[in-house]
Amino acid sequence: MRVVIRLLTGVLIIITGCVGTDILDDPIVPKKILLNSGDTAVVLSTSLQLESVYFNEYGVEEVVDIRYFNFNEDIVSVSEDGLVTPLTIGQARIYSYFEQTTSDTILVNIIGSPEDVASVVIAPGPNEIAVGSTITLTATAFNFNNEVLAEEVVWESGDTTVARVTQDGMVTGVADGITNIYAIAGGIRSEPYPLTVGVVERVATFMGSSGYTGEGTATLKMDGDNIILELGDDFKTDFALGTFIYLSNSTGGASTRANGLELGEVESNGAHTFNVSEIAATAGTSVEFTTYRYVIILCKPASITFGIADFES
Amino acid sequence: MKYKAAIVFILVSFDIVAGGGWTEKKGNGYFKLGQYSILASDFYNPKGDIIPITTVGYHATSFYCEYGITDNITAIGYVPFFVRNTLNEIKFRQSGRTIAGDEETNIGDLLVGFKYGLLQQGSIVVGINLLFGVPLGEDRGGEGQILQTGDGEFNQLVKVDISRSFYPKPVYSTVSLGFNNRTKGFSEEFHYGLEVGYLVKDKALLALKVYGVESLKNGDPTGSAGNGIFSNNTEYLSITPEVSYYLGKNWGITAGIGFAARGERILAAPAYQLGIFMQRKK
Repeated sequence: MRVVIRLLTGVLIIITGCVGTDILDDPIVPKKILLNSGDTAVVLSTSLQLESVYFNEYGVEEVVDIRYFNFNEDIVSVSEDGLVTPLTIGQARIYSYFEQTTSDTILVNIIGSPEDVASVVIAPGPNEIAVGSTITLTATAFNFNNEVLAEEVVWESGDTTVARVTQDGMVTGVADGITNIYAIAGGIRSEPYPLTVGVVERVATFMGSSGYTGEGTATLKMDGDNIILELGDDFKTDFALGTFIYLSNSTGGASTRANGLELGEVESNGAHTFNVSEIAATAGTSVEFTTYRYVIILCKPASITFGIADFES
Repeated sequence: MKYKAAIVFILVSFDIVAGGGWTEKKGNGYFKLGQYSILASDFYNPKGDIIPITTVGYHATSFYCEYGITDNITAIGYVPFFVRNTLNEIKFRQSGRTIAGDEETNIGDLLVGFKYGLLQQGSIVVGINLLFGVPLGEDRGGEGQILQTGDGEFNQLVKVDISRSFYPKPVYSTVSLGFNNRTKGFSEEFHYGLEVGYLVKDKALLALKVYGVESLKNGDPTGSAGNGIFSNNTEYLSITPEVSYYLGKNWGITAGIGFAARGERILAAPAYQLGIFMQRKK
């Protein structure tokens, strides 16, 4: 009997001893290319090596044969491996691509000397404003050595029917729409500052998933500089131990846990409010008004999606 | 029919009660040190469909006893004194990224009560069980406070066992009907069971247990933290073949595997049971 007890004890310890590992495929995400835009000014007599990194459908970096597209062949030439050779003073737009995947377009400024304005940078601020409301932007001109220059800045709106900007940087929302704001100094135009006017609220209705209850309204709105998610009084869900609200770009449980933004646990039905901007900052990330498509009710322990609210439905 | 095993957590304790309609004679007893384990990467959702989940493990090491206080009253106790609830780490194949797992080790919910022998003469006997589920387990454990070794509520199960001996054939059968009254907004449950046993050469007892739980789904409709998928509105119909083998005159080992024909809101995976038992006969 002693032998049997020892054997059983050993078996119990082995059975209950450890936390295992589930091996899953990474969630499928859009392929992307990041084009290095760190140093985008080039003195006329020199050159600039661009670098691009490709991320595949699993979000994993992969070495592929990336090519470059140059919008302004009269200002620069770009080799197949991304070497930019200036031809004349001006600004050139370039992007990189692999198959159907393209990077964001970057602006390369060709300058005559290191003392010239090499870049104009608009300080970060709100990217969404209501119609009739205003924000004030500031911009700084730098030379090639990143020294601040006391250059006069001229402001421009890409679409004055959407937003107007005064020459002291005050932007006023005119009508619903999307536009860009630019700052120009010493003949150098800044990167576009994207601005959404009027569309400062996204509303979606929850639907249950996997046989669970998910009901009510989710509203994403701006409150000053903060993005706020409100679940309405009509919010209703099934509850598990660990029922969490996520913002996500997929509806799958595991992919939401992996790539979504966890806003917090809910333990009751009815109204809830989450300061998305603060939560994202605490998590060491940033979020824009349109970064995420879905609000997900997630049973976090089991990675089961209880409910989905789709802002684009 | 798709057979996936499914027994879950605290509910399992109600179908471990041995003895059927027979009570222990005064001073006699049945004692078992057992291990119950389930490791599930599937789950029966509220529609009864099986969906994949992050693998959850539930392992309970327990002591079970029946002891005859009188010829007609048997004390029953189930003490899961070492319970582990685990949640697997997730590792993504392509990126190598991981999401940490979690674990909780604690005592589980206690089950205590009595069996009263209403009819103990002849080939058909009737026993009435009154069992109390005492919430000694952790209902919010682990680093993430999302694991359980108990459901956090006090419940009372009344169950009638009607057993028949087919002596001189070494065969018995038991039919069970019960009602589980739960608290803290949990739904009440209707329990039913059928067990057939066959003793082989006085050495091995082969038993087939069918046990079902139907939820009245009358719990707190607004939901609460305790109204979890792991403990409320669960339903299942389990089928458990079990063998007990006598290694000595009064002791032996027992093993079983639980399968389920259907389920709702419970883990879907084989439930393994292993134990060593001892009978005390005056």
